[in-house]
Amino acid sequence: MDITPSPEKTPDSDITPALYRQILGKLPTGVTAITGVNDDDEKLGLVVGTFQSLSLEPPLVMFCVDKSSSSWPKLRKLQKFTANILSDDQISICRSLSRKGPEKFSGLPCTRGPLGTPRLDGATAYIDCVVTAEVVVGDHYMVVGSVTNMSEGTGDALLFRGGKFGQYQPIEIPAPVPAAPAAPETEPARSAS
Amino acid sequence: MTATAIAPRAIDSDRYRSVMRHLPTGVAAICSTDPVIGAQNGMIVGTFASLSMEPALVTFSVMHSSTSWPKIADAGTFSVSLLAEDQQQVCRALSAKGEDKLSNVAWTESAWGTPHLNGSLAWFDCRIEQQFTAGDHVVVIASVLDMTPAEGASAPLIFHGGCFGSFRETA
Repeated sequence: MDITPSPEKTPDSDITPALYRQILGKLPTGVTAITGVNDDDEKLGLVVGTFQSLSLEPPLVMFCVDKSSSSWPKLRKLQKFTANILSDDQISICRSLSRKGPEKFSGLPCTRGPLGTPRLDGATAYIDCVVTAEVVVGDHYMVVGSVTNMSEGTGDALLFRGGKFGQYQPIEIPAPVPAAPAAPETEPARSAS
Repeated sequence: MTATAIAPRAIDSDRYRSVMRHLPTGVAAICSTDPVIGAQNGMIVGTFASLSMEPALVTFSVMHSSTSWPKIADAGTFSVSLLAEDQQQVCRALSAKGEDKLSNVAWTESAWGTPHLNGSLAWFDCRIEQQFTAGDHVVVIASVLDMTPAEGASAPLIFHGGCFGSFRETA
């Protein structure tokens, strides 16, 4: 299903792809490898910066993938995948899976998850999914996965921002003002979304 | 959209949260001005993401039980302010329940009539194009009318593992 807004309805804007990239580049993202394996035992993978939590009940996740991806059409046929949230020592794995070509998965250590899909050793979390919906929106596919299994891995998450890899940096809490109560964190961002 | 034939093993919300907290997210404020009464509405999301370059589209999702989103959506046009690391108080103010959440937050009205939160990294003016329900959330797809970066470079606010932090470039 294509839910791209019709061209006559979309606003005329002078937003070029370069400007879009520059400004969306300010948004920090996690780095997630979407992996699967086909009937010929060929491992498939692609990397997205748009993997997101979506629904608690039922448990759903989503990501967006460029229509020009050569790996997604192959992964789509399997109708199941593992989302591997990459850790900060997996930059080389991210680079391998971002390449074009069939050999990009070779040599990457992984273990089969409950769905038979590859879980990359050393990722910070694994979310095994079956594809429950996919829509075309503009120049991307939006994919919704129904979570069948999920488990924590090791390490801390890899971040990507403005074309550079990075790590999460905790914000130093300023020394408390004397007599001020040690206030707990209020509503976190995720639960408010 | 088709329902899957495979019944997923039950994953309770504690497990979902404990795994998904490993995914760091940016923090974005979604705001608009009520066209009738002129009041500002706002909310915080951790799911704002790029979607399409041509046409320019962005997306985020919101709990279907949100009371803020229907008020924001009523305006049709809304803003997204990407929060900077020193905007934790803004995040808390907009995450709270209640009316008039922008009263203690500094903002400037854009050419589109939307509130841009002062001190943010970038601002997007958007128009709602599509909304669809997925589980307990609504996915919003919006076209970008305008996008403006802040002058100078500041660090982003990041929510990760239940805490606020920022971005450190890998050496």
